[in-house]
Amino acid sequence: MSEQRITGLAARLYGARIYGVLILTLVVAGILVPSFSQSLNLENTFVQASPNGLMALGETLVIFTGCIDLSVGSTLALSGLVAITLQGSLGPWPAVFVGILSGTAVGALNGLIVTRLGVNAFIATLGTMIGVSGVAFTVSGGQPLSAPNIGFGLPINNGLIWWLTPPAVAFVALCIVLHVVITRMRVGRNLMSVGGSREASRRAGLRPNAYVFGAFVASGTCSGLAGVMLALGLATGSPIIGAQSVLPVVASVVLGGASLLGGSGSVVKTMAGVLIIGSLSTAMDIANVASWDQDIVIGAVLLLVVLGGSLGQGAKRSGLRVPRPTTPTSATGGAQGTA
Amino acid sequence: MTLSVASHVPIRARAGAAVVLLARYGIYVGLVLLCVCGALLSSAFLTSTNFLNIGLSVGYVGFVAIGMAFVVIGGSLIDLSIPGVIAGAGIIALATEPSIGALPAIVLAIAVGCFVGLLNGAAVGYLGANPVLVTYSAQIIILGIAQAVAGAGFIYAHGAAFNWLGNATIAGVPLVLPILAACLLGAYVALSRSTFGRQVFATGGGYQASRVAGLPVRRVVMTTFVISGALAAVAGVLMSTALGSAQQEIGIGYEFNAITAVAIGGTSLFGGEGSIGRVLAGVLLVGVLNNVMILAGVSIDSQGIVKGAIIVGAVALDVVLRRVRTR
Amino acid sequence: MSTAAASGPPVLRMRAISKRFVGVHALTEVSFEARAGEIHAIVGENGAGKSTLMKILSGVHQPDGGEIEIDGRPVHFSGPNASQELGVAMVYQDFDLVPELSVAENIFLGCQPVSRLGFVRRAELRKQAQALLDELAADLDPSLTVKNLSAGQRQLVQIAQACARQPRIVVFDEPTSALTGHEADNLFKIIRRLKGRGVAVVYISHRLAEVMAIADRVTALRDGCLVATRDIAEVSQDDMVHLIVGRTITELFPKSEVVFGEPVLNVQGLSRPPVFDDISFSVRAGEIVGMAGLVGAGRTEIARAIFGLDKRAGGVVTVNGAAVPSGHVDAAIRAGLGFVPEERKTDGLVLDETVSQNLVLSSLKALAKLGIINRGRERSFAQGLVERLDVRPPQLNRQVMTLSGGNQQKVVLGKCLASSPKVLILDEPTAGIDVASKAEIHRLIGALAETGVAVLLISSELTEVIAASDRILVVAGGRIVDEVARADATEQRIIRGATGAGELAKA
Repeated sequence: MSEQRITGLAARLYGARIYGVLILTLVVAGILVPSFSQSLNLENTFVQASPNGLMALGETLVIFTGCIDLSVGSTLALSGLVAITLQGSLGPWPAVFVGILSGTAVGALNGLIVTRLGVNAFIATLGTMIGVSGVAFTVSGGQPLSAPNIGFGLPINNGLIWWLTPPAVAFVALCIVLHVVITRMRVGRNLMSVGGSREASRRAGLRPNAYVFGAFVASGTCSGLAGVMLALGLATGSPIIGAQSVLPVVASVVLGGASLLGGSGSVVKTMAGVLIIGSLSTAMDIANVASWDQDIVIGAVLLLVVLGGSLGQGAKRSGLRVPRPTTPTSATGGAQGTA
Repeated sequence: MTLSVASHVPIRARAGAAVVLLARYGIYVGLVLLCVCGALLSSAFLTSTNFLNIGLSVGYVGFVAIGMAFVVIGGSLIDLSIPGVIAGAGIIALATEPSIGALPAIVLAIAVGCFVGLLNGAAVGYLGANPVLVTYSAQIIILGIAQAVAGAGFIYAHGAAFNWLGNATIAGVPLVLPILAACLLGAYVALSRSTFGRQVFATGGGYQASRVAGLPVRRVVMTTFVISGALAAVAGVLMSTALGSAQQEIGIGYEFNAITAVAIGGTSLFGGEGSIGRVLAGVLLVGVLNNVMILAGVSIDSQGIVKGAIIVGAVALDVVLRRVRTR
Repeated sequence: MSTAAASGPPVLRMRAISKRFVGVHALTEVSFEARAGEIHAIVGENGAGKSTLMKILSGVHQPDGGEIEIDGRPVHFSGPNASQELGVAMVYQDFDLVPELSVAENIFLGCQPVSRLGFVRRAELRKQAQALLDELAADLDPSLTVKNLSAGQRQLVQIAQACARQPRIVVFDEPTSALTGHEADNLFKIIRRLKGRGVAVVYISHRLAEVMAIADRVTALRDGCLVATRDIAEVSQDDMVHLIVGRTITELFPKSEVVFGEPVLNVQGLSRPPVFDDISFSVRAGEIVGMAGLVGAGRTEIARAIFGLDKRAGGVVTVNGAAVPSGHVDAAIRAGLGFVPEERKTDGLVLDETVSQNLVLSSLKALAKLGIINRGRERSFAQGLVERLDVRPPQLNRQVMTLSGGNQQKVVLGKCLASSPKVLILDEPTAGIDVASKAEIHRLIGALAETGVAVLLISSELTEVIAASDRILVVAGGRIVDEVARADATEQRIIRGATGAGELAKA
């Protein structure tokens, strides 16, 4: 029994290893780059990581269902451009709202293509990634657009809570909300079960496609939010702005331990994954590490975590396979099979 | 038992056969239709110059897509290290050529591509690591190294050999196309005629079953990545000699363009299915589509919309046809 | 047992149900009824229409003709949800649950107790799950994660899931195929308890002895038509086989006398603690050695280690005196070993590929020159195997996925035979295969033994092991605990060894 408890504890620690990596990253960054631990720089980490973080939260939901959303970057660009284009004519708040909605619309389109047409999510969102990018280029005429005021005149850069600006607050708040929804609410548990076993969920009377659709809508909305936040902060939008962010987003979700097959992972761990990459680049920015050296470091950390994870699994898989728990010693007589 | 119901079988069988044919050859039909559209839209379409342009526009993606097809069919989903390998190979070839000569520089560049593929493949095949993350990490690291070595600027080709290679033509056809044709032929033989090809299909279609059948599944997976790395390196060398320069960004986007071509061709991303003919058709479809859009006067900004719609439409059609066929 | 006393009025009545798929009559006017408090078995070969009938009952398929009544009222199932709401619950044979969720969450999947705001009431969920499991007398902690459970425990979860919706009718589809004897006994207790509560139980199984033991009535289907519905008291097992295939039981496991040759397979001190330890035995040419034991006793693991799929911690395996290295399947095949794995669909076949491609999978090198496959030779090679094994339909380019279970298994067997093995290891070769195909597979195995192949046959079906083997090794707890000659083989003796009762008696 105690042995069981020990292995249970070990499994839990192993499951929580991402937090260890995050703490290690923060500590190492704090030691190597002393000014990193100043509050301003921690704030920077959050602010800079929040667009990718928001996208990663939505992406997490999609990955929970066993799908993938490659269109997050294009959606980010589009929603920012929509908000910038409309803020003059509609005013700041409606522009923000419509900008976010444009992301929701892309998500709904993805959801429809995947659930109604039955197209594999990878290809469907690869298509919308290209298509939405085309829309973004068309909207902007291929040029960056800008608004006259940072935040469209809204008080965007003031710290909302302590030093956290609205994008960072949105990131943290959404993370908490989604975590509660996923772990505590029926809709969240059902979403996880759809990803874990579509067939079992279907048999239990759930409609898997509804959850897949919902996850894509949520992902589109998150990307829309991220795009609008970015546009507010920079007062500019560009059709190429999110072109390189898909892979970092997916990487931070998987870094957080979500399986690309669906059904496992955690929203908070995704945030940890985002923050690991975010704090690494902030710390290296402060230390004036060249961007290419930063790439090498981040790639190496990613690779180490991934290989570490697969080695951990590999031991379970190829070495001594855990025997099936039923043993004959527990049998108290009784016929094997029949005859 | 089937004899008793034979009376109404032929009609259904014929309809079924049509669906099977369409599902199997739909991509080729689509390609032909697109060419017809192009011919109707513009008299400039059906000219040898235009066809050469199409060929050149998709030539480099062609190499990458072949390699990607091996990875996908073998069941490893995607090789994201390609932008890194293309840039790395180009930079290595151009940078080392002055000191070691053209041929050794090319060999070195391709060897490095193979080596990257070997590392990717070892991590995925032997350690069971997630291919998306491993190859993505590889991409970042290689691009980082490439930039650290080459700086943000360009590396230029100096030697006469590379100048020749970059501009050489055979009967008016740039050298890159015959080389691509040779690679396609080689890949076709390897995939459809050789024992290795069978092993790739079997491993991608049923990993455990292939293992039980005694196939070297881990090595097969690794080899698909080596092929992908090698072909991406070939693309990188040819691209940079043709451009006369190389820098860190020349390969960006090629991984997605290649997987798009593979997917449009109808290769299942779950592995175990596909063919070189389909990959070529997918590559050409994208090339012809771009060409037709230009001829039709679709603005550059809006071309993405059409392309995205075509990708989704093509795959959706494929899904529908398969569903009808298995019903 | 008198059916009249045991059961009440019909809860379910399916009348003249017909279903056609493209050109094939899957069901022709089949009628079936189940009474409250009755266990009604459905038997028939694969393709007889059992699963189609149950898919109609569960709302997956809509019938082309006929009607369904529940409690005398005609009903129409537009989908799985509709059928569930009307009180039909299915317990599937594949134990498909959500692996990452807890037992309690799986039981109440989609109908968790929630607060008004949509939050799951976790204490309540756990309590209800515990109550339900207690009611089923299932010893299972509702907070465990499903991915860590055994097959039997998963099935308990599935049954609890079915019962959570207060069903009137519960359908069990091949429920014992992955269970140990103890687990199967426990299952029968639960089924009887359901019956006692007035639930109509529909029980589908290939295992006729089970049907004899548990059912009140039995309905036999053949080729999509109803053959008969009988009270179980009126029929013998032989009658049932006759209803299903029109053959008697002695024809099912044909056994010819073979003169044994020298020992071919020698296993000495094979071990991999804690799964199995000190396994030593040999099999002679032409001999069929059965390996019996409970699921989880280590038989599959022993077979996989012999074949080189898993690494061995110690021990030597030789074929005709030549050592078979550990962990190299390729070398094992070259040494003359053939292996038909337990999991046909994942380990035995590449389902997307054709019959021909699967048949040649282990012999690619022999068919190739300089790495290029000779397609003509491949074709004639595969053709020969298809004819020899009588794979139906005999189409080389057909996807194996579309074949019946029995024909799929012939392809797996053919793939092994392609490399002309001297030793054939078969792990549950007839699991989930209908009666007629079973007989065919056994005829093939017998024919191979006659040509001098040494056969190791692992099976959880005692009838099969006893009827087909020349000698039986009984495995329990990862050790060989008994060796029984054909003449002495009785079910009692094997069960005693497999459950450890024999060991206890000695100690």
